[in-house]
Amino acid sequence: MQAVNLLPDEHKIRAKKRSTPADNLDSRKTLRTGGLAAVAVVVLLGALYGYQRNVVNSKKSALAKDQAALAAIKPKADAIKAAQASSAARLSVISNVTASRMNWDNALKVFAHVVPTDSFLSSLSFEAPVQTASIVTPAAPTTPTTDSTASTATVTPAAPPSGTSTLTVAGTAPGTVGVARVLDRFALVPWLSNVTLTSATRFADGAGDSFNITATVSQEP
Amino acid sequence: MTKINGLTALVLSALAVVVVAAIGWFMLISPQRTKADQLDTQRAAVDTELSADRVLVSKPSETKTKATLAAAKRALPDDPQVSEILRQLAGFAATSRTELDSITPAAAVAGTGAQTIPISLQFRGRYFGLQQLLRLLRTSASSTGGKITATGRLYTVDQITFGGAGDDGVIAATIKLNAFVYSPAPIVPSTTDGTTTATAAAAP
Repeated sequence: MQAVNLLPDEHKIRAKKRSTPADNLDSRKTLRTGGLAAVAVVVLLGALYGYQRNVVNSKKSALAKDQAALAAIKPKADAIKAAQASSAARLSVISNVTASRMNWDNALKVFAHVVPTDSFLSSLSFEAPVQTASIVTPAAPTTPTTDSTASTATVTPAAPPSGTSTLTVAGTAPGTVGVARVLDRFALVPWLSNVTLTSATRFADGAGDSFNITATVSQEP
Repeated sequence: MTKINGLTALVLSALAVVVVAAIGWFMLISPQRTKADQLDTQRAAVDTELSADRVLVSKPSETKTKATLAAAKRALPDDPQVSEILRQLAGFAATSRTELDSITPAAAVAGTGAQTIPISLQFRGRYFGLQQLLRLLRTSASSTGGKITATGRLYTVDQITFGGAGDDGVIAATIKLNAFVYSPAPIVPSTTDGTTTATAAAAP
């Protein structure tokens, strides 16, 4: 079965189109209100734009002020930074050298303590276990540059190198037992090893023995 | 002209307001806000740098930096300053009551961070005078805990040879020591510098 609308045509249209509040609006009035709203928005945007410009200008002037202050302070700060970089590079070299060099005065003090009072050293020859050449590593020569950044170069501290050298001493002791005592005393020094008697010769007058001793020196603690 | 109905007028008005607001926002307000943000970022960077620089140039920091550099330059100068080495060694000899017979500097050897000036030193004195001389050479410049202590040049001793101790206890000794010159980049060693032989006698 099929439903059939028996209403006349004009009634059919009216039934389809339901009236809305907008249908009752006066189009002119609506357009005028819309125009006013648009103008209000423009005014609001203008005010907002003005405010934002003001903010930007004040930030610009603050930035310019800070930049001027920075520009005034920069040469002095740069000079101090360069000085710090130069100090750091020198400190690196000095630290490397200081950490690796032999404490000679302490070594001589130790010798003075270990040699018995009745024995004497007449000569001594002693090389540092770590030579300076291995501390300040020779580098391939390059042409000098006038680059200002060169002064800020830093040197990475290297681990202290280690090595051994030979100590040769000669002296006199009161007899063979005295020489043996000298050998025993040298053997007590922790940074000396392989303490070896090269020769011990009695003086013609029998007043004592001259001796020659060698030992291996490792880096002093 | 066709008359528009109320609904169309409402839609057109709303559209006009939205379009005006969008154009105004995206063409006027938003660029200004972006500019303001960029300025904020720039200013923050400048302020950070400025604060760091102000701390750097503040009196205590500047004084400390100058003092550190002065000590570092005393220990490791930019040029050989052999005359300064001679003065220092003569002073050390006088303090340790030893007599310097000769000082022979050799040509500087280029190295990483520094050039080495080998010096051969001959002197006469007593054993404990030699010990004191070596102590003075060691304490002339050193570094501990990242701090440089320098009253003079930085020295290392590579070799000591002594002998000939007589009844008076005076020994003749030869010391091979090294002084240093700061060189940030390795340079060609000078052939005209530091090859002179100086003979100096210190006060007993």
